[in-house]
Amino acid sequence: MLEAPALSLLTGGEAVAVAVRQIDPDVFPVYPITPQTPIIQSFAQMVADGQARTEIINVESEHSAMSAAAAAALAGARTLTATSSQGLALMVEVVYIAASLRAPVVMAVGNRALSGPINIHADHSDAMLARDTGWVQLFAENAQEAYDLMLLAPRLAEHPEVRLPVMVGLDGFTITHSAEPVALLGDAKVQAWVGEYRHPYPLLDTANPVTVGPFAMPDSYFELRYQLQEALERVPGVLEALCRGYARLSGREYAAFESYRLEDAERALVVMGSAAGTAKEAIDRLREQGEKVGLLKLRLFRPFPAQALREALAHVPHVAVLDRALSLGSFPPLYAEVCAALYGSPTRLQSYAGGLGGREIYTEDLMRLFGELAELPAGPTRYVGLRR
Amino acid sequence: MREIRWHGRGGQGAKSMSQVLAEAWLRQGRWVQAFPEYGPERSGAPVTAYTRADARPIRIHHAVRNPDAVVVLDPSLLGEVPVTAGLRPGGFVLVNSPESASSLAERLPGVRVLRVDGSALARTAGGNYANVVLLGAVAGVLGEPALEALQQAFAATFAKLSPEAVAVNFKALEAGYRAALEEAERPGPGAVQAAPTPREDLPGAVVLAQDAPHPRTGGWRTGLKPAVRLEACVNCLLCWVYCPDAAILTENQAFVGFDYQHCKGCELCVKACPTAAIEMVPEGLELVGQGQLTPRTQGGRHA
Ligand code: SF4
Ligand code: SF4
Repeated sequence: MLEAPALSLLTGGEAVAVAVRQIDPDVFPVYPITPQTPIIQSFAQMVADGQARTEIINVESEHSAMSAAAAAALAGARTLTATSSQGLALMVEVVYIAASLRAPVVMAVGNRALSGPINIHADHSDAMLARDTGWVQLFAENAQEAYDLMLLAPRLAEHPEVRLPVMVGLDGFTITHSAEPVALLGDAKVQAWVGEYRHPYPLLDTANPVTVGPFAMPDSYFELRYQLQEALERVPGVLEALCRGYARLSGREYAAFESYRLEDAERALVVMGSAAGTAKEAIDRLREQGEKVGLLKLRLFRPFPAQALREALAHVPHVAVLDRALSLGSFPPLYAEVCAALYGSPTRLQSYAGGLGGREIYTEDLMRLFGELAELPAGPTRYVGLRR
Repeated sequence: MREIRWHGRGGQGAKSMSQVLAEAWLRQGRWVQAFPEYGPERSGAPVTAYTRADARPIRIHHAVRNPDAVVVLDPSLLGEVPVTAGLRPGGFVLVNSPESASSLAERLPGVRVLRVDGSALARTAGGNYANVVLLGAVAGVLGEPALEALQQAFAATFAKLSPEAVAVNFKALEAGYRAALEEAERPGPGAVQAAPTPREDLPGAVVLAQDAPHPRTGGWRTGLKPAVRLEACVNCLLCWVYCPDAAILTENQAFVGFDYQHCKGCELCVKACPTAAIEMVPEGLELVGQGQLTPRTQGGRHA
């Protein structure tokens, strides 16, 4: 008899569902949308099988899903949900409101292109739609990271210094539907890690009634928005402390970003999501040929860790930023952020965009990118894999 | 790294087999990946899936471009999908077919073709699913993963199956694993996968009728096809309006039957017909003309 492996073969969607089951939230309002579906399908099966006590609320739209999620979190229930693309677009009005109400909802996002034309495959345009909402935004490279970040997310969202909703992005299909070996924690360990959810002034505490979501006049709106800004600025510090704790628990190290062979790099790539793994492969192959290339894989996009990123890239003469979304009419979003973070530094930056609507980003594409990076004159965004 | 590409039709288990193979390799200490490529998601539509295995963690996240092996679960895909595209030198295409390897090789020039009659072997084992036989066969040719790992991976993946069903599938796996595969190769150019290019003169994702790809959606049918009793047809052409694949054939504006190359068996015409003139019949049933249960009568409504 062969031994069962210590690693479980799970799709990214299934890995997220396992994390949700282990967290065992009180409420999970959700509306199905591709490619988020494997998350809710697997999790609903687990609830039906009695493996979680969660109340799944089948709502009539994503707008309702986020309305129910924010309300449930404020009522005193630990609340998670999941969506993708058009679903996020439809809920975005309430996505803003959830943050402003300081509802610590955790949402997995199977990152998918926005219409149109309609497309169900991976890119980051849906997440970019929500970048200014006040949510914390994290991106996973693979199924393992999606699982781990889902376990970190409630602690971050509910932290008294943060109290903000958190989005965990995993690339649609590329990660949500791709089966990979995942190391899982035991249920008891996870339960001890997430602990009990306690909202300081829950709506259901009728002995101490509160009002949430009041009208804000010009005399207070500005201050309330500034509070959000301040709360987001506290996130990197809280995340760092949580990651230390999580490393003790799991043996896996996390941080706002991961540097890969960056120490002596002369050319580096900044990227988020599943393309980071492909980039590591490209970098290893180029390193074998003596090329000094490296990677900065960003996990935390909101708040944007500008100062830390600037320090990490300070010694690199040439940096490429590969976006999986466009900001039509301007530079792509991640590039614009990195550019602002590195303002005044001698590093030469180049914007790339690729992988839109599920267009493959091959190892060879990234090797070519590194190959041309040092020689390129300063210029506009270059497009990886675009046919024209 | 080993890279395997699976071709099947929705419902034939290409995705499941890609995962069982990965699970088996994982049980032998390999790092793995298994993932499908999604097009139209419905039973009968062509599906592609991939399995990767390596001695070290697999980090790349893109489709397999140059597979070591290609497994074709449904021989009807050969004319529809470029199954040999990108095959690595020294690689092979394993086809589930009752047809001889040499005649398959005529249709798949330039590659090493292996064939196994998976459907027949599955029936002998007492089951219906050729996919398990093909899974066993591809592992048999590659020499890994071991049969025992495959069987355990199968049982773990389909944990809800009855012990009897598991036993049947174990037999089918073994039959495939030990099968003597017929082999043939014909010289010729390999297949290339052409990508569509959107028209620049028509911004806004506009598709002209003559530019529309016309996939043979007839292959999506799973056992039933529509047929018409023409004497009941009042020629309202509602079926023509509703058919999503333009598979309703007319002559002089009169309904005459079906284009089975493109009829995907969705049954919308059956639902749309106000006189219940259309019904679904078994695929093998002999029909008159282009799908008539009864021939057009002289001087009838269609005259
Ligand atoms: S079943 Fe009827 S409606 Fe559907 S594709 Fe075939 S002819 Fe058209
Ligand atoms: S819908 Fe029925 S009656 Fe109308 S043309 Fe089609 S087969 Fe004839």
